[in-house]
Amino acid sequence: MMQRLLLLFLLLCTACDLRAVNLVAPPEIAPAADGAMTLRWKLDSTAGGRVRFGLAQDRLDQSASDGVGTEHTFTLRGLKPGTKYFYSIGTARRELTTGSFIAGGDAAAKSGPPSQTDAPAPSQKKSLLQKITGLASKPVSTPVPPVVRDAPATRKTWGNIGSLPDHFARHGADFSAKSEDDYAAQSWRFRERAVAEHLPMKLDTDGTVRVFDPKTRAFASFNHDGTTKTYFRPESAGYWQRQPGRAIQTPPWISQ
Amino acid sequence: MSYTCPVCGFQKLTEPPRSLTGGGSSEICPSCGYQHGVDDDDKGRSHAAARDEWKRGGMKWQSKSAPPKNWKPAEQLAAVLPRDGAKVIALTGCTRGCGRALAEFFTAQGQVVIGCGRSEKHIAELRSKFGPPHDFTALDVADDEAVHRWAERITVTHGAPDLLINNAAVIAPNAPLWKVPVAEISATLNVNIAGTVNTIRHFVPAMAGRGGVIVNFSSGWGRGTSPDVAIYCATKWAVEGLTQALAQELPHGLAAVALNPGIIDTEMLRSCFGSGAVNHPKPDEWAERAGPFLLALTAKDNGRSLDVPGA
Ligand SMILES: NC(=O)c1ccc[n+]([C@@H]2O[C@H](COP(=O)([O-])OP(=O)(O)OC[C@H]3O[C@@H](n4cnc5c(N)ncnc54)[C@H](OP(=O)(O)O)[C@@H]3O)[C@@H](O)[C@H]2O)c1
Repeated sequence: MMQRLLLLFLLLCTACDLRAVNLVAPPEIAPAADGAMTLRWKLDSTAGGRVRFGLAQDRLDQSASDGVGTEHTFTLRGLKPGTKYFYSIGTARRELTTGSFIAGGDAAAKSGPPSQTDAPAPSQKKSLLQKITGLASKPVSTPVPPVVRDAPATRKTWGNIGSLPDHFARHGADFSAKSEDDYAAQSWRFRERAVAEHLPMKLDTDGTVRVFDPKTRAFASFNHDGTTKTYFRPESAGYWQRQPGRAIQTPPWISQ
Repeated sequence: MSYTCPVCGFQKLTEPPRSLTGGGSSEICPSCGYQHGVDDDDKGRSHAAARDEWKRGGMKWQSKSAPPKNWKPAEQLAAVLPRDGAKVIALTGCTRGCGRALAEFFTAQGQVVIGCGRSEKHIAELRSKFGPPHDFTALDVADDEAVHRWAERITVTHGAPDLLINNAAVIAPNAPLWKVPVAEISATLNVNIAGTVNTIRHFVPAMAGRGGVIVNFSSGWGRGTSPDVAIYCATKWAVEGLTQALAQELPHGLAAVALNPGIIDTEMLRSCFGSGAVNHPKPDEWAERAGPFLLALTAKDNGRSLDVPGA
């Protein structure tokens, strides 16, 4: 009898596990005050929430948990602004999805709606909280739009500010930029998208990072600190192949 | 630190127009409006064509920012104009030894030197000593892609070279062949043979149709042999052979020659001759003989195996 009861108990446990909890939509992420980031997700049935995060995908050394429910919200504090973090979210027992984000800091400041001339059209209307790119989004198979945040002030994103009028005059039309600030902001968003979407990047020995999107044919060159040198759409075939540098995954302004 | 625009001679660029490895700075010259890394790499505009256009337009300041006080476009331009009849000379291995001495000799003569070598430190030094119209890039001739990029860019900015000098080479430490580490063997084959082949493959298409001379550095060990340098001998014999065959393939107006430079007191010689190297001429002495000899080569020399006079 005792053995039967034990078997039944084990069967029930397995059944519970099979009736897996799932995300109903990709998680949402948004910058919060003081450089913190908020992660929020919704489950299709009640379960506890758990987030693990860190500076590398295989080193998620910080974690937090909350109580049982279908909606879970975590505010991650003490992040280094501009730094790429990897995360995994799920229940206490199961990982539901993984991904990465770049910590906000200044970047969280809002300055009007960003124009998205270069980025692919977002497939979903965004709320205040933006969707983040899942590295391995298990429950959702449709592609998730990239991080879209408002750009910081132009003087912080453009390398040699005195040169901006000349670059805008020459290349602004490539992206239908409305102003120097809009052009600089677009280049900054291209930089963010390049990281989120793993666009081809090359690092030169002088620290210059060149980025190219083969789909939109947008090209940008960034200083070692991530500020923009130029942003334009090359006309000639093979332009990207002609650029020197070592292929990289993570640019130097994102400390690993 | 400020840098000179090779198109108009403006001396206050904030970055070198090309990184040491040859990447465009993306800087738009405020004086002539040429964007380094875009006008050349994307639009295919040569320095000379952009310069002429700027001159035709009255040498006007192109930036929205204000020109410096006492800006003198004609004066700045004079500093970067190649002299009339100057030859464009692509020279590999210009950072040390014979190549460095040739770079010094040719620049002093007013020729335009397009040099390369692996050492970024030495390339930076050459750049600060010899500004535009000369051009120095850090690259490994054994890296076919890097040579391709270099040749493509130079052909756009400076035009095809009149003289291509394949001087870069290495020698493995003295040892019988079976004791030479495999990495040394590969490096010697890759630099001395593949490196020479790479520059020929990437420069010749642009040189064809307008004439020019390709000089492949051989050696006494490209025509004779000694123990302990077998792999070096193999590469220099290969250079002689490939030059002969290439000479038969080249279109009219182009020439390929194999050149034994003689024996010169360089790091390479010290590696194989030891302290005995000091008894041989120094590279700058040698360049006084080799430089004029190289400049005098013509299409008629096609296929010859030559020696630098006095070698
Ligand atoms: N010295 C002699 O007595 C003698 C005799 C017969 C023939 N030669 C030939 O004359 C030529 C010059 O020799 P040298 O005595 O001047 O030699 P060296 O003093 O060793 O100089 C060799 C030059 O080639 C460059 N180099 C080597 N590997 C390279 C690579 N992979 N890519 C680009 N540059 C490279 C070196 O610069 P980095 O290290 O910066 O790359 C350096 O500038 C060679 O072809 C040699 O075989 C010399």
